[in-house]
Parts: sequence; C-alpha cells; structure tokens
Amino acid sequence: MNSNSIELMENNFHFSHLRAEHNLILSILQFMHIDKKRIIDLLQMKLDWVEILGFLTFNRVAGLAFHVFDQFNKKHLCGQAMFSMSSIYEAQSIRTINNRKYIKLISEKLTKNKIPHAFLKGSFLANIIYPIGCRTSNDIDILINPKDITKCSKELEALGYIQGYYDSKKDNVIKADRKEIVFRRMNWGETFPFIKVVKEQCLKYIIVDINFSLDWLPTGTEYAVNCLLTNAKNYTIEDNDLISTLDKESFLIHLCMHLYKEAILYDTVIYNNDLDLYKFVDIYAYIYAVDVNWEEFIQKVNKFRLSDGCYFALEYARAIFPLLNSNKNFLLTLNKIKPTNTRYLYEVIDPSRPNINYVWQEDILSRLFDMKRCEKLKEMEV
Amino acid sequence: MECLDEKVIDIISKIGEVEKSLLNKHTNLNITGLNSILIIQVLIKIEQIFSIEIEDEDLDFSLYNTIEDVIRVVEKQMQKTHLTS
Repeated sequence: MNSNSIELMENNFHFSHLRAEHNLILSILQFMHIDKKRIIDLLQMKLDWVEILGFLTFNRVAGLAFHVFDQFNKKHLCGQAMFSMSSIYEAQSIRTINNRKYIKLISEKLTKNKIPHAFLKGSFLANIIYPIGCRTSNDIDILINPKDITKCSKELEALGYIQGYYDSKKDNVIKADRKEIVFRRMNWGETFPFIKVVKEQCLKYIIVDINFSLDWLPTGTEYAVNCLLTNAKNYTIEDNDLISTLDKESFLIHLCMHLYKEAILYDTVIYNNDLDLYKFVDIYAYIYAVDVNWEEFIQKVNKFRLSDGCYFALEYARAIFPLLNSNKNFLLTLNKIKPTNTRYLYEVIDPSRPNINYVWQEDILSRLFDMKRCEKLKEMEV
Repeated sequence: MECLDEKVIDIISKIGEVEKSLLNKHTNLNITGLNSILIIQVLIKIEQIFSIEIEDEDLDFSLYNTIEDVIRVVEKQMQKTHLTS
C-alpha cells in the first residue's frame, strides 16, 4: 500500500455535522480518549436528555456513559438522566461481579471434562477490558467445536441449566419444545439458550449461549472454530481463577464477526439491533486495551477467509471512532484485508429470501441515529 | 432394518407429500420436496416414533443428502439408546 492510500482512508470522519445530542453521544463513547473540552462545550448547550438517555440505554452503553459523565461538573448534567444512568451502572457492576461465580463453575466443568472452549464477548470484556459497571452482559457466550455440543449440553444440564425461556411471573424456566431446539440448532450457529434461575442481586437468572459457528450459518466455519479453540488462552478473572478465552487476535476477529453477522441480517435490522453501539465500543476498547499483533490478525483473517466480516466491522468502527484513523497499523491492516468488492457494506440479507438483497442509501452515522432506518432499506433483486 | 427403512420412508413420504412408491434408500432428499423446515419436521417425527433424541452433532443439514443418511442416523441413535437403557 502506498502512502496515498493511507491518506485516502483518513477521510476525516468527524461529528460536527451531527446534532448536539448525537455529537455528545459519540464523544462520550471515546471513553479511553475523552475530549473534555468538546464535551464541556456540548454540555453547555440546550440538550434533549430524553433522547440521549433513550439512545444510550437502547444501545447498552448507559453504564459507560455514566462512568464518563461522572468526571464532569454536575451543574451541566441533567440530574434525572444521571440518576437513571447511575442506577444502570450500579446494577451492571453488581451483575458483573455476581456473574463471575457462574462463569467459573462452567469453566471448571468444561475443563474437567476436556471440552475445548473459550468464553467470548461480555464474560471477558466486562471483567478485563472495561472498568466494572461499564459493560453489561445479558448472557455467557461460549465457543465450542460443533462435535462437542451434546457433551457440553449435558454438562450444563448437570449444573442445572435448562434450554428454554425465563418466566418472570413464576420465576422459573419453561423448557423449550424439541422443535424449537432443533430449529435453532439447524438454522443458526447456536443452540437454544440454556437458562438457570440463580436469584442473585441484579441477576435473577443466567443465560448461556453455546456458539459453534463464526457467522449466522450452522456450518462452514468448523475449521476456523477448531483453530481458534486450539490456540485459546487462559486469563485470570478473580482470585487467580483461570478462564479460557481466544488469543488476542482471534478475540478481535470474533468481535468483528459478531458485529458483522448481526449488521447484515434483515431480522436484526428490523429490531434496530444491527448497529448496536456497544458492539462498536467493544472493538474500539479492545484495540486500545490489548496490544493486537496486526500482522497476526491479517494472517488469521486470510487463513479463515473472514476478510468480508472483519473489514466490514473495522471500516464502520473507524467511522464511529475517528481516532482509529490516526492508527497507521490499523489503517494498513484495513487496506490489506479490504475485499475487491465492497458493495456489501451497504447490503442486508434475509436468508429466507435468497433472491432479494436490501440496500442502504445512507451512510453509517445517518443510519445509526435513525431508529426507523429499516423503512429506508431498498429491496433489490439479486 | 427393513422395517426401519420402511418407517423412515413412510414419514418422509407423508411430510414431503410424495408418493411412497417413488422413494427408496438412495433417493436424494432434494427431490423429495423436503425443504429445511420439512427436514426438521421429519427429524422431530422420527424422534417421536422411535423414542429417540437425535444428538446435537447430527442436527446438521449437511449430513442429510439421501434417505439413507436419515436412516443411518436413526440406526446410530437407536443403538446408543439401546446400549444406555
């Protein structure tokens, strides 16, 4: 890559064209590189705090926002919004700590029974990367080889987990019927969630998701999954207890693939979960918290043929986190994994309608704040 | 085993709405009219009729190309169930 192409990629994403509320939200998310002056300027403006609070909460970053806002003079902040965000922050802190016990129990079981596994996403991020309380986790995600699903399911059942739904009225788990379990297993790269009522503070029940695929398809990534698990590494979660997770570069690949698979599926778009901000923040936080070996990242992305998904996630991440545009290694990586055709960055697919693609006309930042964006998807025949 | 083959073919013929006489062990599932939803229905029906639970590892579309593939999984599961009961 020549230096011109780097310059071309540094196309100065900035938020000044956005409304003050949106500008503030994005400024807050850069929590590792806070621009205090910009935030103070924005806080002095008349702001719609209902919109800000709603957006932060919907995107699961309200706890993180509290952590950042808490560093500023309270006189510029909306008391009611701060109260709500602090409640979320406190609940997430308690939840994260209470979750550890269950992560450790599952880890012990799987390790004892020699089931290669890696804890993914929130189980690692909420405990290691983010300050406690800044990252919530709805479930415990575990990656395993497809051939170990039955074995792993049995171990979870032995720990009292049931594949089903949590019934809040009866405070118990309603078992999913066999058809639901089989359908989920055969059509998606995941099993029906395993749930256990635990009655902990801020954590009534635990959900465990067993993942065995890196995309939304149940097959096709077995080789990649096996390689990732072979290189899994241990990390200390609490009191020197070791938990297995992916190596640094593979973890980033998984974050990218997770974002990608949810961003391009029609079903997630209609529920506005395609651009959940927390997934972008995870990528940003991970890159700056961990010393990623970009050469190794590129090698793995190419080896597992995951450049489409990884490029997609990183390209959009730099629109939301402009600081990434000054990271030369990041930009070089992006250029090296860039697919020949990047039209798919604007496409959405519906696996049940393979002859139709949906296309976005708007850029990422416009879409991000448009909660009725799915109405703007244009249907195109493939 | 003849009986097991017959029963599986019978289930596929009913769920796929295909004339039973057109089906045999070597029939490709693509030409039985079974889409992914119907294949799941076939597996669920098989579990009910044979009182078995197909293992997760076998809940994979790529394993089922012909009727014989379905029969093989049922046989395997029945043997396992028999051994553990």
